[in-house]
Amino acid sequence: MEAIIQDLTIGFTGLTWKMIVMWLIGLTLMYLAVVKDYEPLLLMPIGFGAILANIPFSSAVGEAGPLTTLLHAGISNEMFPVLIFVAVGAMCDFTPLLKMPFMMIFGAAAQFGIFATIVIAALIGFPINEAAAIGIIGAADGPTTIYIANKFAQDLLAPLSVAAYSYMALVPIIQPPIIKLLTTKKERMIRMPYTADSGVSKKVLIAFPIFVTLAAGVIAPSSVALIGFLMFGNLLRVCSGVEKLSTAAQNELSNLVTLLLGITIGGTMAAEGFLNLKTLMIMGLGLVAFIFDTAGGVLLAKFLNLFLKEKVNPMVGAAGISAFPMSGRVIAKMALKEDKGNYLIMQAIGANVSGQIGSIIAGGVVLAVVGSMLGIR
Amino acid sequence: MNSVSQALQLMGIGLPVMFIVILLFIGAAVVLKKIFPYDSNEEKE
Repeated sequence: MEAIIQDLTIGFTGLTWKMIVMWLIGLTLMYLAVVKDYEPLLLMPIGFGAILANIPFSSAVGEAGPLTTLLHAGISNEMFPVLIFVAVGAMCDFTPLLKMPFMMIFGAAAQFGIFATIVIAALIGFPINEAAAIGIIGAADGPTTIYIANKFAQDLLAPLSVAAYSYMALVPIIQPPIIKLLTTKKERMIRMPYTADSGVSKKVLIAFPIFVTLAAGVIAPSSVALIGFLMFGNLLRVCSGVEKLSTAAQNELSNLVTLLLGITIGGTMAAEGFLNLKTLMIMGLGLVAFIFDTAGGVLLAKFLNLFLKEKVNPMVGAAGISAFPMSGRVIAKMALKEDKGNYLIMQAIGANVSGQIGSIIAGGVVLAVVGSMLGIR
Repeated sequence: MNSVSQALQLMGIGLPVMFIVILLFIGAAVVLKKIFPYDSNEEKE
């Protein structure tokens, strides 16, 4: 009888205050997702997964738990992030980018936060593998963060993912003050002509992703899984005859993998591993990465303006961060606020798409260099 | 080598490599647009 009572009350006796805090964190994430509309497709499953993982003796986690099975099946082997890349590639329209190839430079500049944060994390005392995984939050790209975290710091997967997706959702709050701090009103009012008539040939739209895959693959073979699947998704979008695959990648594949990815990451948020100083430091460093990313893009644009005849609006540089398409929209909105006739949406989206490519290139470079330092291939 | 010097080394290699790769992509985009110029009839096809 005593054993039965013990079994029936195990949920109460096993409950700790840390678990209750994690429930609150899970509920907060769900609130932000559902009520505030912050990355709802991801934060909602992550929040609920966190609750599932923090119920005493939860059968959802543990050796045979479905969330653990999903972790092994989809994240430990990097399958979910790679599949998300196919979906993201199918959703990305490279036309604005190819109309203004010059915008791609901002996709590189706005990755500065990754490298700066890695150095800061190392200065704080993180070993290089963890510092690299933390810095990659600055890729502003969830799948890249998860991919790198899984390679270099699997224990930090939960806080890294939560930080990445939270700050991506907070781009409209993070970027404007940094941009305003670094630019003058006159600079923010710079208009950039956009020639809508100069289209891009379909052949270019097909050849470009193939070239990018081959070039990036040869330069950094470890980036092939990242860049290759993104470009594959994009090829589905632009090639004739595979519209069904493109639609499936953009809808069914994206939705299904996002759901599984989110709840699986939530499932890794066990209180013991999550509620600690390291998580707080990761959240802080993630913010630093986004700030440096924004600054990197803006400052490069300002620097280029010293030499350019036709000036670039420095705000467009900040759109080189990969939080697509939110950052592009934020910049376009800011431009309209400064000058009601200044339409920068296409330029900002061009820079923003290039941020998607830039973040993956940066991820590939970090994979190659840190992998070589650690002897991980 | 400690993690700070490794991080600095990563930055020293990573940033220039990334910019070179992106410049390569910019060049490729420009060349591809020259090889395959846009034809307004494409949309009608």
